[in-house]
Amino acid sequence: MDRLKRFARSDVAAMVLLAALILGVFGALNPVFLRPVNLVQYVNNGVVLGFITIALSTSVIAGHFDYSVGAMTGFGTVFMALLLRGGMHVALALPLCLLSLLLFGALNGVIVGFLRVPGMLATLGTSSLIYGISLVLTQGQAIGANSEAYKVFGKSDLGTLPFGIVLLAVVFAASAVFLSRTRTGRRWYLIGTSPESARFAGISYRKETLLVHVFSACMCFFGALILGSRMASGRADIAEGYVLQAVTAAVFGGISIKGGSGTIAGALLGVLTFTLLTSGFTMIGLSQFYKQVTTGALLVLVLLVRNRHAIFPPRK
Amino acid sequence: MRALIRKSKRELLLIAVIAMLFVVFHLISGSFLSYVTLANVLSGYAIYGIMAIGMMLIISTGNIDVSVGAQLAVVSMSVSALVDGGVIDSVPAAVLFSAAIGAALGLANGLLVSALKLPAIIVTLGTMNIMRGILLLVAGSSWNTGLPMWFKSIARTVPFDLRLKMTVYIWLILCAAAYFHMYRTVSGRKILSVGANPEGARRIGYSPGASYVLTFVITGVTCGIGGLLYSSNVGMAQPIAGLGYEMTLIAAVVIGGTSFTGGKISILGTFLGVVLLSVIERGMVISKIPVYWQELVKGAVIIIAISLSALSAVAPGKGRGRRVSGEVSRG
Repeated sequence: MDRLKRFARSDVAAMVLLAALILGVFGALNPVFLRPVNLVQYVNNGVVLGFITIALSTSVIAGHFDYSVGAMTGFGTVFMALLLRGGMHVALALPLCLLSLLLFGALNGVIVGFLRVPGMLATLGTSSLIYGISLVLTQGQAIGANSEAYKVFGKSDLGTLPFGIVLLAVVFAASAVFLSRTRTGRRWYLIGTSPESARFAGISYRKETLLVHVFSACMCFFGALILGSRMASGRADIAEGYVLQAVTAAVFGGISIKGGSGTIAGALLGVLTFTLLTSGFTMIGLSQFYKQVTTGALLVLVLLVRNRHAIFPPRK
Repeated sequence: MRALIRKSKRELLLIAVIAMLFVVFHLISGSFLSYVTLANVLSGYAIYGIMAIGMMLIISTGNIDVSVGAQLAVVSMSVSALVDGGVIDSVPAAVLFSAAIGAALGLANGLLVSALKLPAIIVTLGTMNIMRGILLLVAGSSWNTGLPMWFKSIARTVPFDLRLKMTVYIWLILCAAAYFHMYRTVSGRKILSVGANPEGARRIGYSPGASYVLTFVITGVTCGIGGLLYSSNVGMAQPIAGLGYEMTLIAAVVIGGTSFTGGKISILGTFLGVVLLSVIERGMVISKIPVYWQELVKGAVIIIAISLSALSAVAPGKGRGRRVSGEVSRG
């Protein structure tokens, strides 16, 4: 009973309620919104955002802020497209692309962990660098990638579900278990809560910070895979808008921006809510710009609600 | 003398690098080392320079503002609409209105940051999208190109026959004003002390929140003046004005030696950081290096600058692992 009560008060419960509310409102406006085919499609639309949100959330949980997730995802699509256009087989291009992104993640990790530059500042810099590398490689153009084997990731179905959803589900399950059940995962939470205590507990700040950023880059690889395959192309700024959306979704889902708390499950629930909302907006025909305004406003609003105790201290 | 050199190591290094770049670009392009180029370098980035002053103060208190470009666009659009509508019909009125609108935007950011007690990057990411979204909703992709001559000449005047645009003089005056404010007034010293040690500043009775709000308001004003000069300079206003300015400003400030971990600013360093970025851009254009390379070079310069700062901060006192960072903000 206590557990139930605690759940009812949690952010996750609020999020489920919000998702149900969105479904109800848009369903009432137009019953087509609730058709199973459409619901699957909404989830499918959120897959890329899902991977990028996992990447960002993990770095935020560990007390950092990986701003370069958008640039890394963009680079992933560009590099894949270039390799495929050069005639390389997908089976060989995939590991190469993953490796290049992991190297960028390691670069982030070294600057943040070893040089002790604040994570956000460092990744703002590497974001610029990675984006620049993509621009130089593509000369600012979109690069087509029309390999049949590449299409599998973004455009095929596994059973009744699109491949992207299945992949996200698997990666989500693995990373949720990793963060909550393995030593490394718990260390990241501790570093995010208090780097000082983590140090006293004998945890290597350098090593874990390096790993966090490599993990984040790995998630960006999955995002790039699905996104590039869907668009059948690679472009430097293809994932530019995802950073804000990922922050919003993560904050929605109860990830504390100060680090150390929140779960991947919550963050993905945030992604789902966010995707439902924007899908609903598209259905009733609101323009892109309304989405931008709403995203920004929602972010600030959710922060206000969540931080209400700090802003208006409860009377004793 | 020696103390002066030690104190301004970063500034001297920047001057050396800038001089070296002048020579390198001169060797590549055959015509770079001249007063005209220097004047163009200053005139071309003066608006960045003005806005960088505000960004420097925000960064020195451990915050950040990624909505500066959006603020510039809001001021640029609304001031030119007011000029069109006949509300603004003189230069002083234009300056007053731009500064006021900018200050209001900065105040909103500042209040949200100090009230939410959360990293400014999240708050300003949100407000940036609200501002840009509203601008695009209201104006679409329309450009206001019918600005009157007196308005266009605000930024374009070249006084004193020195080949420097009016914007450069405004930049220099604002640097001097910032110097006076930061080193000669209580309000400025409070900002520095809050940046150095927010908890300590709070205990001796300063309010960190108030200082945060002030830095955001100052930034709003510099964005306002930037927005006015921007639309005056290009002769039009558009919703996408100032896109990506935040990165250039952060880069300039960080290159200039202002640290995120607070309390230390360098007005001359920020000035030189802006000049350095301007030299790189102009030099690459004149050397006919494709424009795609600029982003890469900018990123590399930022990373080198922050790494150098971090190394020089870690090195003294053999404090391996002493400085536990990773905090985006202290609130």
